[in-house]
Amino acid sequence: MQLYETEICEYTESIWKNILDLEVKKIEENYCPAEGESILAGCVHISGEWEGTIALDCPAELAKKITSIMFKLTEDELSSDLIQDALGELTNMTGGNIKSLLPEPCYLSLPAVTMTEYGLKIPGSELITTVTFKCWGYKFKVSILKKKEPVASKN
Amino acid sequence: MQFLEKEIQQCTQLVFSTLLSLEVHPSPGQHESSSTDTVTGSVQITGKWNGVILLALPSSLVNTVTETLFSLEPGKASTDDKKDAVGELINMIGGNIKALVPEPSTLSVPLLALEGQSLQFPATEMVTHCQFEYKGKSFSLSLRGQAEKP
Repeated sequence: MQLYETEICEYTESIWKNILDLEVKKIEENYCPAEGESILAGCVHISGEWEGTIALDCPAELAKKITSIMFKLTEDELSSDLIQDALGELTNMTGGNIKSLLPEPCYLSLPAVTMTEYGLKIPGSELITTVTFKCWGYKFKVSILKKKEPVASKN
Repeated sequence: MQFLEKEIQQCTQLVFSTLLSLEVHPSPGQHESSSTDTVTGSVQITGKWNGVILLALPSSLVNTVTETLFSLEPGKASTDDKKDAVGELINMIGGNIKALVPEPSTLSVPLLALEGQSLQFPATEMVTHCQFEYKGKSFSLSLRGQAEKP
C-alpha cells in the first residue's frame, strides 16, 4: 500500500461524486498515456512543513467532459480557458484534502495546468504515490510527489 | 512602472551573473515567443502573497545556460540536464523575489513546460512582465498574482 493511497481513493471518489455526480473507481492498471495522446495535467504545490506536489493527469477528452458537466455547457461551447479552470478546480480540491493529512503548517499554492504528451516536469521531486482511476472508460491518475533533498553538484 | 519591475530586473541580472557569469540586459517591448521553441520554468509563492513567477527561455538559451551551469561541452546537455538547469535558475530567481513580497510566504518546487507544452495558471493575472536580452537572444520573466474573484 502506498502512502495515503486509501485517502486519495476516498477523496477522489467523493470530489468527483459531489462536484460532478460521477462515479469513479480505482483500478490496478497504471495510467500510461499512449504516444501522441494529449493529456491535461493539473497540479498544486504544498510548501511548509511538508514540501511537494499533488498532480492530476487525465486525457484531454475526459477533461472536456468534466468541464461540460461543471459549467453546464455543451462540449462545443467550451473554451480552453474553461477546461483549464475546471481541471484547476478539481486539482485544487484534491490537493486541499490531501494537505489536511500532512504536518502543519503547510500551504497550498494556486493550481497550474498544462497540456502535454508527457505529464508534468517537476525537477527535484520524486513520485511517492500514484493511484489510477477509471471514469466513463477513461483512465486518469492522482499522484503525490515529494521534494527530494538537495544534491550539491551535478559533477 | 510595473509592480517590483526594477527589483525583478535586478534579481534576474544578479542570478544570471552570479550563477552563470552571463550578463543579461533588460530590453524594452514584449517579445513574441513560440511554445514550440520555448522552455518555461515556474515557481509559486504561497502565503501572505500568492502568485507565480515564470521564466520563458528560448531553446538556444536553455542550451547555453545548461552547458554553462554544468560545465558541459556544446551539444552535450541531456533533457534532464536542461530541466535541472532551468529548475535551478527559476528557483534562485524565485527565492530572491519571494524576499520582496509580504511575509510569511513559501516557495514551491519548480514546475517546467518543455518545448511544445503550455503552462497555464487559471486563477492568476499578469502583474509584471520583464523582457531581457543575452547576445541577441530574448527571454522573459513574469510575475502573475492571484486574480481577484469576480
